[in-house]
Amino acid sequence: MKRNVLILLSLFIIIVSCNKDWLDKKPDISLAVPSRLDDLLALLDNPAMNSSYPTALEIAATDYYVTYADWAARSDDDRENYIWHQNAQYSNNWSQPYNKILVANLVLEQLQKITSSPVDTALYNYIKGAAHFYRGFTYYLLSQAYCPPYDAASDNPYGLPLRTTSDFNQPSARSTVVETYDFIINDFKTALKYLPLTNRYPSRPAKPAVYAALARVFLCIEQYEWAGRYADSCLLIYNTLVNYNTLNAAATNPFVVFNPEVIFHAQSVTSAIFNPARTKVDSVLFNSYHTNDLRKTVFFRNNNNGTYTFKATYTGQTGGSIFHGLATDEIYLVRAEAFARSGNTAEAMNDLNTLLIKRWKTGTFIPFSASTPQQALDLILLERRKQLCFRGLRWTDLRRLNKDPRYAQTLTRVLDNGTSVETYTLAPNDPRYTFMIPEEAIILGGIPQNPR
Amino acid sequence: MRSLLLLALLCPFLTMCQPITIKGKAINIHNEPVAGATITLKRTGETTISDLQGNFGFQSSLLTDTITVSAINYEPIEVPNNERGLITVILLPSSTTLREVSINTGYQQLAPGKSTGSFTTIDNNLLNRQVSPDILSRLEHITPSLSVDKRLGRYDISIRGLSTLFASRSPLIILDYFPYDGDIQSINPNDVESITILKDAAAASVWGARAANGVIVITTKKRSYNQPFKISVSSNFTWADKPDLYKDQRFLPSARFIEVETFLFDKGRYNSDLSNTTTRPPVSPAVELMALQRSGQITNQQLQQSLADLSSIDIRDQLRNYFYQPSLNSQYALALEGGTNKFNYRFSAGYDHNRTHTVGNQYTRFTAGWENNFKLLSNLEWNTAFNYIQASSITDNTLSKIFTGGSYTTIYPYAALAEDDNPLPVVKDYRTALITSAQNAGFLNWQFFPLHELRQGYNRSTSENFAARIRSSLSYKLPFGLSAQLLWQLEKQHAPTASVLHQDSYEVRNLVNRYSIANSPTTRKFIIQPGAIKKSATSELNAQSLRAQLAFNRQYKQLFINIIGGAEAREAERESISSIFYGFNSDNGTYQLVNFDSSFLIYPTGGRSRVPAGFDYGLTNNRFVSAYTNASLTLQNKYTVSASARKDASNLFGVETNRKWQPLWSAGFAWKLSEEKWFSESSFPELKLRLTYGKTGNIKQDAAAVPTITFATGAQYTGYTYAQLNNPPDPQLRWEKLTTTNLGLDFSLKKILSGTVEYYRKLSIDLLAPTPLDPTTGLISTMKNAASLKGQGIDLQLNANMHLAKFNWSSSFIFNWNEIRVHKYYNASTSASSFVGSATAVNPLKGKHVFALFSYKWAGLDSINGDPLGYLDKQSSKDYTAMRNADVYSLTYHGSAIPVYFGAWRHSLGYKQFAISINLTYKLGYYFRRSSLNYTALFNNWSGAHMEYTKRWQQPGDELHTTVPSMTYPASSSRDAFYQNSEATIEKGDHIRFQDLRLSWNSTVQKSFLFKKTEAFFLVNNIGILWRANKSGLDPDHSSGYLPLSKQFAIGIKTIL
Repeated sequence: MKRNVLILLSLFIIIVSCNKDWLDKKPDISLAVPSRLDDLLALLDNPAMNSSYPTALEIAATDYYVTYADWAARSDDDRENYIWHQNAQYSNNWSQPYNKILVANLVLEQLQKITSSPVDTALYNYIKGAAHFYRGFTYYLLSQAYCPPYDAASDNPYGLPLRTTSDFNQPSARSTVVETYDFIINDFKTALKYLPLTNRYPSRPAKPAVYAALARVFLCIEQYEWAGRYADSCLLIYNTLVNYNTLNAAATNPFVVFNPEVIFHAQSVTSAIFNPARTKVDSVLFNSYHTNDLRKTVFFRNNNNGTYTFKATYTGQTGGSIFHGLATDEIYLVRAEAFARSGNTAEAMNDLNTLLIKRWKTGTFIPFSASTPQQALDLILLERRKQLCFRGLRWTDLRRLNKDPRYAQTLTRVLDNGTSVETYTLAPNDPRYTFMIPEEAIILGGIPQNPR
Repeated sequence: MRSLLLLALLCPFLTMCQPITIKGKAINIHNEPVAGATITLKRTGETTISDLQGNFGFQSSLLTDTITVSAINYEPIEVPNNERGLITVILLPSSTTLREVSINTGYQQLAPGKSTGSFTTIDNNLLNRQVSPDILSRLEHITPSLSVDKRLGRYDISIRGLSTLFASRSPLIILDYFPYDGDIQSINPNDVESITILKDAAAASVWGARAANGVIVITTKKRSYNQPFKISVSSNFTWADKPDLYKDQRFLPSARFIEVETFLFDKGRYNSDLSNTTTRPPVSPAVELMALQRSGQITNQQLQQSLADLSSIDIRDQLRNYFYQPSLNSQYALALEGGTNKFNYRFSAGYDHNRTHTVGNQYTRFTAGWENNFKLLSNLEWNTAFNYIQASSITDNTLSKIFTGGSYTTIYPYAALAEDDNPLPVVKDYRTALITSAQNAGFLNWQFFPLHELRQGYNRSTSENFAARIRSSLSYKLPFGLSAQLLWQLEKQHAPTASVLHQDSYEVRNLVNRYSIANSPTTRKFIIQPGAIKKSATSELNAQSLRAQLAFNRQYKQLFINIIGGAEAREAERESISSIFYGFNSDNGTYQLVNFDSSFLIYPTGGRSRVPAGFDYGLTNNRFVSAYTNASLTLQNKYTVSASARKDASNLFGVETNRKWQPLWSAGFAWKLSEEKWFSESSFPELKLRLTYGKTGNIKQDAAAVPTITFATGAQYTGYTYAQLNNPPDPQLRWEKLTTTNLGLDFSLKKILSGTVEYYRKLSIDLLAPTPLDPTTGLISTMKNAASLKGQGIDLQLNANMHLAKFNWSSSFIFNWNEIRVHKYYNASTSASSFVGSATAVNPLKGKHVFALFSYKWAGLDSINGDPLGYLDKQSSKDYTAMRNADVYSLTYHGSAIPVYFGAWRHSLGYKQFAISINLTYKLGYYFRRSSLNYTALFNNWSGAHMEYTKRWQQPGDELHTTVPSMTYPASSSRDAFYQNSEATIEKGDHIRFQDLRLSWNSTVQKSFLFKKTEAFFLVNNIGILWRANKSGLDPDHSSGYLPLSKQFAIGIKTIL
């Protein structure tokens, strides 16, 4: 015992004298300073990077309606957004996307401190490309909610605050709308340089995802030629379409997670208003599908009371959140629209029919035809509405197409509480097409609020 | 602890026939003279009083006689005398004495007369006044400065109020010498000799960076040399009745509940649930009946009859009958001890068995300890202590599963659990129709029978705790008053938790059914095979401490010097592993291999999920290295100066090395005025003034100066390992610091009254606090060293002691004033909504109490529709959103939500061998928010139910006598929040409580140095509230709705052989 004590004493002295090393022990095995490539990869592989995108984009769009009773039972935020209340705001629709931007910025900063070796170049490049992609993708979705629609002719000071650092002491300032889109496009172009051709799961971005995202952005800003080119690049690498004849239409959701059409998986913040038990699909939309169009049964469930519910989100889950990601069906439609707008009716209709033949009952589909680009465009925009419902895209399309008198439309919401009927409308190009930024960001960040 | 026994010294014999001079000296355990002691010769009845040096003497004709010695603040003692010459009588401090016990700081024993710091010592007698399975809960109501916050159903101890906002609030607990990392519940209270609370900086700063919340030093029983063999046995039983479920206001009786459901049904609230054919959410039996009536399947008369039948059922009666029982705790303890001049030992064993209020729950604990001291050489002592604890608790989780599921977090009040004692099913998770049809579709039975599961023990989990502690120390006395000590302690704890969900339990059947795919219309393919599910989790603790200390203790004429210095290192490693086995067969140990990677279709929702994995691994390791010193100089037994300093380092992650070292120090001065010549000692036998100043620290483990990430395994859908960003880096990060100034006065007056009064000021700086951030940064808030608190208070304890004939009366009065206010805090948000609430958590606003209670101003109810009204810009308003977003200063500030003044008044009256003791406690100067009705939560998940529903506004005129708003649909959550957080739900918390009553009988039989002592007692605890300021009859200690504690009755006996 005495000897033990002596040994302990000497150990003690050693410990105390070199306690610098002894104290470098990690206090928790699961903690790490993000300094290795694996750490940065793990940050980007967090499922949060593929979820919690703004949900307001779909809540305010009119793919669906809810009954007064269901509306009344929802949160104040859901209720206000549903009726385009002029002060409607969603704080987590702002802070959660910006958290993804913080992670991307942190990854890019830490990456600068790491020199890649020949062995891990591929990993290094993926991380760099993916960080740029996630940042660009998040800024793009935020811009659809919080920036006025793009207008190259007259720039607008209500762009997004573009943060490029993880240092929270740096103040936020709004950019212009053109600057915002330039930044997004730049991020995607950088991502393109570094990302690989494919990835095992579409939760990680690859080149087709970047091309698809660029196609979406250029469509949004009405640069149709570029939209078409990027859509084409995407489809050259990846163009799988699911034949809806192979799906089990009776399933609660006929689509699995990462179905083969998904190029990049992203989903919105969960919102109780999107519970399939509540959302009733717009009857005009529902009736626009032909009886032989499989989407009528694959997308919707009969509630057996004259109403139908959307059930087929590409998230592969059931209700609550919507699919914000990129999929081949959308890109076929982007390319088709670009062809139509450039006057190439044949190619436009070819793309549209390639998609639709996989949507109709085998043997029943007679390819659509159009004699003029205008006819083709009308058909494509209609099919775009039918194929891409509940995808968070309609809001952007409304903002874009409302500028064109041919396609401008006024939205209506009706709430009937049994005793009185309240009707709400949203006129084309109404300032409410741009959501209010949450009050916290205005107060704490000192940035100007969107105009009303 | 030095010798506790009286000693008589041998002297030469004298002849018996002549008058004999008996001379002696009365001293205390610190070898200080006891003046004014009464010395009586039992046979002759002669009496004398000891002088200032403690000396006494008389002439007696008898050589053999018994001397009785009594003195204020000391236990009376009888000394058989058959010796001549000088008799030294060592007096033991009496249980009511404040400061005459030696103080254990964990590093050294201090003589109270030579210390400057603020200590409170609770001795063995006082600790044993109460009875409880654990030791810490005995401190409440008897310890000055200590308060317990029970508002959240926890037992949060604080000493002199909060010193931090968001870092750890628990005081540092020292067991004998080292911080105790194990489960505090597992310490056997019968092994505890005393507890010392270190309150100010001079007392606590020797514990450095973890001492800001105060330090509680638990000293276990020790033996000394030259002591006869002694056995003590004790046992006690505590009984308490079933909790009174009817006291919980957050409930709606069946008839009223059905009334609400009818209202909602008519509004169409259940339409989407009733027509839902995918997720099939549960619907209560009453709503099912209403739907049947609406579709014409039953008549309105049948409906009304069925609803009336349901109204007669009350779940509380059924829970009381089947799920609750009176609690019964039994405790047994045994100790053997003894010692020769070279060796002493103490062996103790204890057994506890607690049956709690919930049927099926029990706790058993076995403890055994051995401690011995060897004098290896005359100046070398070796101490070894070994402790073993084995505890096991069984928990039946059935009660916690009685909720309806879906969106409902509780159960409908008319749920019938049994009929004629036969278990009945309740609605659970899905529509009853689905459950019924499932039978024929190949599913396992999908019904939930709570009572059956309870009786069969389907949901029991067992957690065990095996803990062993070995401590060894070597003390070596060097010349010149120097001594060296080397201490080492090893603590190991193995705590496995196992729960086997029976294969017939609802949880297993539900899981199996959910993960199943239709094979044919009448058969299912099960992904998870029917079978038990065994979940086990094990946590291991390995802690090692090592200390080397040098002490210098020397008296140079009038100067007494006491210095210690040392260094210690400490490591505590915790590892936790959990696992899950499906299809477990406990007979042969076989289990099913489950595919955890793939997602499966879930019935009936149709979503996809993986099989719940339940594997986890965690490892934490905390390391500390410290160097410390503590010194005191006492001159002429009058003036004492003290100083201490300590440096700590730790492997706290991410903190820069230079930040890891934090020097903490203290200085103190004490002046014994009663020793001054000019002081008249007749009225004040003791008067001592103390002043100290110093710093202690506090740690928050999860803040870091660099970005850290936490890894997790198995991302959904991909299975990738992924990481979460914990906190943004803050290179400025520092530890929290507390500065305390303490002014104390110890006195005794006219030999009857003694006491201590202390005034302190506290300043906590660099407190970590969430600082809201611009959400555009990607973060909502971050922890920064941003806040500070300022506090002050008074601790007062007065003791009175009087002997009148055969009566012995003593009383102890404790008064505490503690007021901690926010001195600096960055509130980015000043909106009213972030400050209203119940203030059960800290609610910092500059200049206000830490637990600040704010309310929306209340303007009554709208006389037209019963809407609650508030004020906006001094106008009565219903714009709840605007009031939420209004400035915090628009709110009414009530004050603190924890008592500002509190204490206890204890009386004991002894007559011969009997004693009666009562303890009254009081808490004053605070407010609480009572629970109230929330329509949104009532409609959506039933949790917002409240008895005050019956008092709600229903028609104009009701606003004159009620504050409960009318029921509206749709419910507005902002309207509910406004009402619940308005002035209408505030109550004053002040109350006086009759805490306990204790009757005891003591028998002391003296038999030549061997005391035979027996004590029996009867105790009633939690007797009730004598006075309360609130008119609602609520118990402010249980304001959040937790049920008040039932009265406890305890009996016990203790014998020393």
